[in-house]
Amino acid sequence: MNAVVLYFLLLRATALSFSGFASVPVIREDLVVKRAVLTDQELNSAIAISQASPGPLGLYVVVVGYFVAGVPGALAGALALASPAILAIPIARAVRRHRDSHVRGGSAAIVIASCVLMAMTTVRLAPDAAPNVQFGVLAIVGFIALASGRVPPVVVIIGSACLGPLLA
Amino acid sequence: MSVAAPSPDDASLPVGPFLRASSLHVGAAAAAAALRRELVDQGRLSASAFDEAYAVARLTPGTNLLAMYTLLGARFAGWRGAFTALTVGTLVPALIVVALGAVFVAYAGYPLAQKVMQGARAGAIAVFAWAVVRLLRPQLQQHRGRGIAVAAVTLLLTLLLPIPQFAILLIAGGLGAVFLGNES
Repeated sequence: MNAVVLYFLLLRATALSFSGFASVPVIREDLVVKRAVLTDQELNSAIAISQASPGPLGLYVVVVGYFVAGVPGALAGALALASPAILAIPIARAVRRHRDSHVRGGSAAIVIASCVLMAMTTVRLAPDAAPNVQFGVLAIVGFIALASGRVPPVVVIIGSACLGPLLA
Repeated sequence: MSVAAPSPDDASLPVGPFLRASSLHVGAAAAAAALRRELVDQGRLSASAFDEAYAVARLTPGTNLLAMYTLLGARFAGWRGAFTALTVGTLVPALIVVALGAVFVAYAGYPLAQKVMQGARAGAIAVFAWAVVRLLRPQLQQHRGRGIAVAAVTLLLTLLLPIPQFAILLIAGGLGAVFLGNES
């Protein structure tokens, strides 16, 4: 896939998200379902790799770009990740002028809608991430560990990766 | 101690704290905390300036951490500082993650690597599902009935109409600007 087209597809997803993973549903729809240039397994792997690495959650977009179009794709992913951040400067000016209520309301609604789409994407990604009971239990234990607030995501990813060979 | 924010005209961007925050810390919260320690606790920036950048970044589309880097960079050195901080904050972890991706591609055919990645993917779906809960809970606590209405409209649009998900997000954003914006 052309890296420029990939950039605009990824940008469309990142520019309409307010957290790192909120872009996953749109990216899955565009690259897995419509264009078939990425598989659910690669998307899950990209999320896992990004979680085991320093940087923001949304970094998985760079790995997605790399899987789809190599180094130019990774560059497209990095640019798509960075581009929306420029909007912070005009938004800061609007907030300082006390016109922030509509910005806050709009962004809150997008977060809520993103969560609904993310929940549906979780259901769609689950068969690849947990193909049997053992891995299903591993995912549930990971979720409970995260919910406890005592275990950071990177520990869940690395711990699950270490247990993978024992469960497969 | 409160320290006035430097004017973009008379200050240069301290690249080191951004470099360390983006390359040594996993997750936005850890990176933001590290950056705050280096900038605020060491007297390079006021706490209020940092907190404003943090709050505005939460309202900015895309990755909140990168938006915060951009705003802090702009505080120190205007647009030049914004672009420098954004570049450092993006490229350094991107290089690391691409290297990990290349290792994954190189070893993807090995049975042991496949089993390791299967485990990692099970962990990733747990992280992803937890992100949904962590994001949704405060929004529903704050917006209650209207927040649930937005969630219900999103679910109905997704299930009943063949429209792209980015369009659903745009519709939700428009509804939120009108109905949730006036709420507070």
